[in-house]
Amino acid sequence: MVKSTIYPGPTTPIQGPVWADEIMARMKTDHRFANKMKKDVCWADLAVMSALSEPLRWSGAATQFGRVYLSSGTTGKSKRIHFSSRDWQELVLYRAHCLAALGVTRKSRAVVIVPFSPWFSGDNLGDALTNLGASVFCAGAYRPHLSSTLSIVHGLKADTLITLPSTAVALLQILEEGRRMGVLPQTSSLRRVILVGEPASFDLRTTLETALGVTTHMLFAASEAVIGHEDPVQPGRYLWNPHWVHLEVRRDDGVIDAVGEGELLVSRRWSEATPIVRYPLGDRVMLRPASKDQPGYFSYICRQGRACQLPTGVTVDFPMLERFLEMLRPSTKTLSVWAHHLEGGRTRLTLTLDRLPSGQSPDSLVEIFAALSLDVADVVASGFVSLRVLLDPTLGAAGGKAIQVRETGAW
Amino acid sequence: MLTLAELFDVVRHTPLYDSWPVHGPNLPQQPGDPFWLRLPTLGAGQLACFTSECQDCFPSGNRLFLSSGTQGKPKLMPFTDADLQRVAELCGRFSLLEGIDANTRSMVLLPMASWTVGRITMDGHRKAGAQVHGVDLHGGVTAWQQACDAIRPTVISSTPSVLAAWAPYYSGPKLTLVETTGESLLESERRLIEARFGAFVYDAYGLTECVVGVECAVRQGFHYWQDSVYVEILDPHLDQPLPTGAMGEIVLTSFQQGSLPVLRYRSGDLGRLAVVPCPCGRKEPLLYLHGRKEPNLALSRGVNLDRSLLEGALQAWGYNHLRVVWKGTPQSPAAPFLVDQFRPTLEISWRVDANTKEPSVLRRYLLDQFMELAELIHEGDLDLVLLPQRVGVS
Repeated sequence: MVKSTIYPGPTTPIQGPVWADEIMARMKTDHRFANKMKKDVCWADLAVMSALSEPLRWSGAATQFGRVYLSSGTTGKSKRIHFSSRDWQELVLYRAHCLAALGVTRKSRAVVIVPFSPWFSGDNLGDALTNLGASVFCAGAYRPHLSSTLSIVHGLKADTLITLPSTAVALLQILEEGRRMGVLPQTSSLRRVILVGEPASFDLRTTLETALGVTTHMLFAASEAVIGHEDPVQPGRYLWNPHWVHLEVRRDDGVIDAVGEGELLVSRRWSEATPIVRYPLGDRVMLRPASKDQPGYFSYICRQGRACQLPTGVTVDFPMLERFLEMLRPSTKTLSVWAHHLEGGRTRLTLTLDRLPSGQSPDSLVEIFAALSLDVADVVASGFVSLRVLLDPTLGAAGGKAIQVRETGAW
Repeated sequence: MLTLAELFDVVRHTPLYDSWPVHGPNLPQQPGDPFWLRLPTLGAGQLACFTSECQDCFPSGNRLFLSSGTQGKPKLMPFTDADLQRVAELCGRFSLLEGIDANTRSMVLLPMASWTVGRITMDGHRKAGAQVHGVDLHGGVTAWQQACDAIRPTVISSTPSVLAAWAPYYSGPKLTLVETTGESLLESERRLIEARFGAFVYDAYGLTECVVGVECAVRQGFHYWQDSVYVEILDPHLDQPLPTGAMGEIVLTSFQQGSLPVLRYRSGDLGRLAVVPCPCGRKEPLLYLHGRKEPNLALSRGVNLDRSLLEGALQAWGYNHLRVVWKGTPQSPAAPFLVDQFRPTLEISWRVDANTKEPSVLRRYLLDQFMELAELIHEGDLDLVLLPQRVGVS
C-alpha cells in the first residue's frame, strides 16, 4: 500500500489538493499507515498505491461500517473496496453532483440498467438519483430482462437512461425489433442517455442519439472512486470537482505531475475504510490545468495498466506478460502490449519488443505467446483476436516500466 | 414507523383510496376498532390497476420496485428514501432476532435491482451491524460457490429454491445460520438446506407490498411487530374478521410505506394467529402461514388439482392436522439459473397420531385416488413429498 518512501526520479514541486493536510493527518493517526510513514512526510513524498494489492480491511467500529463492493478487475485483479458510512454518503453526493451537471433534476424520471451488487455502479447511481429527488427504477444489466425493462422505460415515460455502452447496443437491437413488430412506440420519452462503466465510441453515441432522439453523456468512475463527468458543452472533456477528488498523472518516466499526459492517479478526500491516495486506475489521460476562464479538465486516451481484456472475457494478465518477457531475456528488456478493440467484437493485439531474441522471428514469438495460455490460444485460433509481434528499438529508451499495457477502442 | 394518524394522512391524499370512507371525521383510532372494520379491503387487482395506470405520475423522489407477480402481473411499487429506511429498520429487527450482529459477515444472494428483496435484506443486515456482501443471482451454482469462497460468509441469505439448488454442491465455509426469504419455504427444502449448509434456517415472510415477520428459534411461525404491520385474518371471500386462531386470508396494513400506503391489503396467503404465546418467550405475536388461498393447485402441464378434494380425501382417512403446500418452478429472476435444478413439488405434512399411517401407505392411497398426480409423478414432472411430523403441524 502507500509507503513513506520518497518517489524516485526528479521531483517537480507538486501542488497537493487543498485537503492534502487533512488526509495526511488522518493517515498519520491510522495505525495501518503510521508505522510505515516518516513523521515529516508530505503530500509530494507519497508513493503511488499498488493497483494489485488487496485494499486494507475496515478497522473502525462496526456501526460506522458502510458497504463493500468488488472492483471489476480491469487493473488485473478484482478487489474488495470497503466504504464507511461517511465514505458512501460522500460518494453518493459526488455522484449526484455529476448527474446534476448533466441535467438530471428532481423532476427527472430515470431508469438505471447497470450491474448491481457485488459491483459498485448500480447501488451508487440509484442512491445518487434518489438523493437528487428524481424518480428511479433500477434494473440489472441482465440480457433476458432487457426487453421488459424497455417496456417499463416507456410505461414510466422516463426521460433519463443510465446504462453501459455494451448494454446500450443490446437495447438498441431490442428497440429496433420491438418497433418493427409494433410492440414498442416509434418515439421515445427519453431525453438523455448517460453511459457509464466502459468507454463508448462516438459511432455508438451517434447511433443512440439518432435512434432515440437523445443527447448522450459519459460519467467517469471506478469502484475505487467516482472521478467526474463529461463536459455537457464540450463532449470528450471530463470535469471533476476538487472538493471530492484530486487528480494527477504518472508520466511514462515515473514522475507524478498535476498536468500532462500519463496514467491517471486519483486521491479521494473521504476514503476512511479503503484509503484511496494516488491510486492508479489504469487509464491514460491528458490532464489540463485550470485557467482563469475554465476549470481543469482531462481527455481520456486509452486504458493503461497491467492487464487487458480480450473478447469472450479472456484476460491477458500481468503474470502472463512477465512470464513471456522472462522467456525473451536477456535480449529483450521492454515489452509493450496494445489491445485495440475493433468493430464487430474483434481485437488486434500487438506486442512490441525493443529487441528480438537471437534465433526468433516475430511469427515464432506469436506462437510462443499464444501457447502461454489456453484461453488466449483459443481466442486467437477462433479468429476473435489477431496477434502480431513488432520490433521498436526505441522502446524503453526513456526509461519507465519494463511492461506497458494499453487498451484502446470501444466494444 | 408511521403512526396510524400519519398513515391516514397519506391515505387521504392517495387517489387509490378516493372512494374509501377515509375523508370524514370518523376515522379509526386504532386498528381493529369499529371504524376500522368499516373500511373495505384492497385486492391485488385493484393495486395492480392503480400502479399500472399511475406509472408516469408517481411523485418525485421515489425508488420503484417490481412486485414478484404471484398475484397476477408484477406491480411497480414506489418507495421514498424514508420508506426504505423504515423497511430496513424492520429487517434489522429480523436480523437481530436471528442472531446476526457485528461479528457477522453475510452473503446476500438475491436479486439486487428490480425487486426490493435484495436491497432491504442487505439494509437489514447492515442495521444489525454486519459486514454485508451483496451478490446478484446471475451466474448459477458455480458462480455462487466462487463468490462464497471469496467472501467466506458466516451467514447466507437467499431464496429457498436457490439454496436448495446450490445445496448438493455447497463446499463451505461453515455458517452460523441461513436466512431464507422471497418465496415460500418447503419443509423438505429446509431439511435439505440445513443438512448441506450445516446451519439452522430462519425464514422471513413478507411481500413487496408489506414486509411481515420472521421465525424465531422455535421456527413454527413468524413473529411480527405491531408498530410496523397490522395483521388481520379475514374470511377469504368476505371482509369479515375471523376469531383468533381460525384460519383465513392474511390481510396486511403496513406502517412502513408512506409513498403508496398499503391499507387492509389481501395478501392471497392463508394463515392464522397463534392463541398461545410462542415457547421462545418473545412478546411479539405469532403468525402461522398455511400457503396460498387458491382453491386449485395449478400443477405442471396444465393439470389443476382441487385442494378441497385432496384435503377432504386425506381427512377422510384420518389426517386431521395437515398442511398441503404446492410450489411450482420459481419465476423470474431466479428462474434462468434453476433450470433442471428445481422440480415442482407438492408437499404434504401431517401430525402423527394413532390414525395416521406410514408415508408409503399414504402415497399408494393418493396415487390410487388421484390419477393425474400419479401420471405427473411417473413422468418426472412433479415431486410428491410426504412428511410425517411429531410436532409442528397444527
